[in-house]
Amino acid sequence: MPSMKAIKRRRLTVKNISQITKAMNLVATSKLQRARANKTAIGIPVQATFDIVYNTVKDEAAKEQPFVKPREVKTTAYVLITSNRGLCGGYNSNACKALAAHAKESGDSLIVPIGTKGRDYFKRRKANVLDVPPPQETPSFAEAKAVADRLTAMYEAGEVDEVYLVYTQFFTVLSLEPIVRKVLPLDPDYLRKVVGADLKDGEAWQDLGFFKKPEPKPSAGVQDIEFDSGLENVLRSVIPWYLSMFLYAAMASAALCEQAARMTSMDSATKNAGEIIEKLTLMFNRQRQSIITQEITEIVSGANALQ
Amino acid sequence: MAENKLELRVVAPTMATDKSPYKINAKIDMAILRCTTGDMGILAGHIPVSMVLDIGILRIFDGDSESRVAVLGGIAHVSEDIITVLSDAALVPEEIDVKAIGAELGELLQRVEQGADEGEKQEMQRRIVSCRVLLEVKNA
Repeated sequence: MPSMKAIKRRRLTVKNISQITKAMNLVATSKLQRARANKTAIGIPVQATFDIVYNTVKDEAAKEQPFVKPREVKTTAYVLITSNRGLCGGYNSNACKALAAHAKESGDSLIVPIGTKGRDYFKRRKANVLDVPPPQETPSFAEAKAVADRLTAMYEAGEVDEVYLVYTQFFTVLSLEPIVRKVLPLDPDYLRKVVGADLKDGEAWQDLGFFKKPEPKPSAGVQDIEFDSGLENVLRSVIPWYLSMFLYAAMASAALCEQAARMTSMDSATKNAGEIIEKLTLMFNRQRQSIITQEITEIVSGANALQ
Repeated sequence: MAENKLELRVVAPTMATDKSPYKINAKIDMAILRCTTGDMGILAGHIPVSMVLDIGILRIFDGDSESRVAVLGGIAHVSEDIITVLSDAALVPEEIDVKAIGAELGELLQRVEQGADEGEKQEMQRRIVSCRVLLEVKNA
């Protein structure tokens, strides 16, 4: 049995930790509201981008374009979105594990980490990791654009043949799911389901978690699309936009998930700390009581011996 | 004046807030967009078209009034009488700070004169055009 002093010291330590976890929970709650507002704000721009991209690639001629036509896969790039800080439960490791499981089935992989936790995870495992500056806590379009431009150039140069995006999708505060989504080459049929256009019977809308379910869009009577500067040029401008917006939306979703995960884990840490404090208090009181009982017994036996 | 109206949706992701995701969302008669291939006027009933936008002025006509927005590049799509403009930045005259833009333009011109490498020059030239467009929109 530890001494009373040791129990007291431990109880104080746990109390201090619980104060920190409680404060972190409150901070995460407040940041969660901001992250939610940010994610909601970019929903419409993301939807508009996907609509334009779909309208551009649904053209028959687009199927032969470099960003649409699939090619033999030698190297797969994985853009991994994690946080820069820990203390958020399994948020980072779940995304890393989802990527690792997916990469096992593909050939050579190149990890493009957005967030230091994911970068460190794969560097420790000696994976091929691209050097990307760590992002700020609040996702910015400029950061997403920088990575997207780099990926577009690498795809064009044939350094990568496929691009996947690994991020955490937000369903509810308690339900966060790591997702692996293919972003390049573009799949017009997949995009059709994302934008909810011409859905056939039994076909479901593909929810990316970025925007609300769009109104059904029938294609009847819709004319072919013209491209002012030619399909290739339009596609060349549209692709960096599409990648930037996809990344930006995934970063916003991941930022929201990070705060939700931190909030939940800090809440359970505070609860656990409370339970430990209760146990230690009980232990401390028992110890104190036993010392008092012992002292009384000693006094009584001493008095008895004097009689 | 056109008989039917068009819907103009200008979306700038860096400027979107949860209260107003669209930078501009209005019913208009006509819009003239600055594309990489030249200016393009859009009226109601226009065929679906996708465009690459250059740095320039988006002119919006509604009734007898004309308003101008500085659009610093992007893409646009017209379909079913809806013009969607996606841009890095779209600024209305009230948002343009003439002093700051003037100072930036002065500094850029000075740096170009002093000489810079080709890559830098191109980027500076792009920024100079942006500054001029912003000033033109503000002073219109």
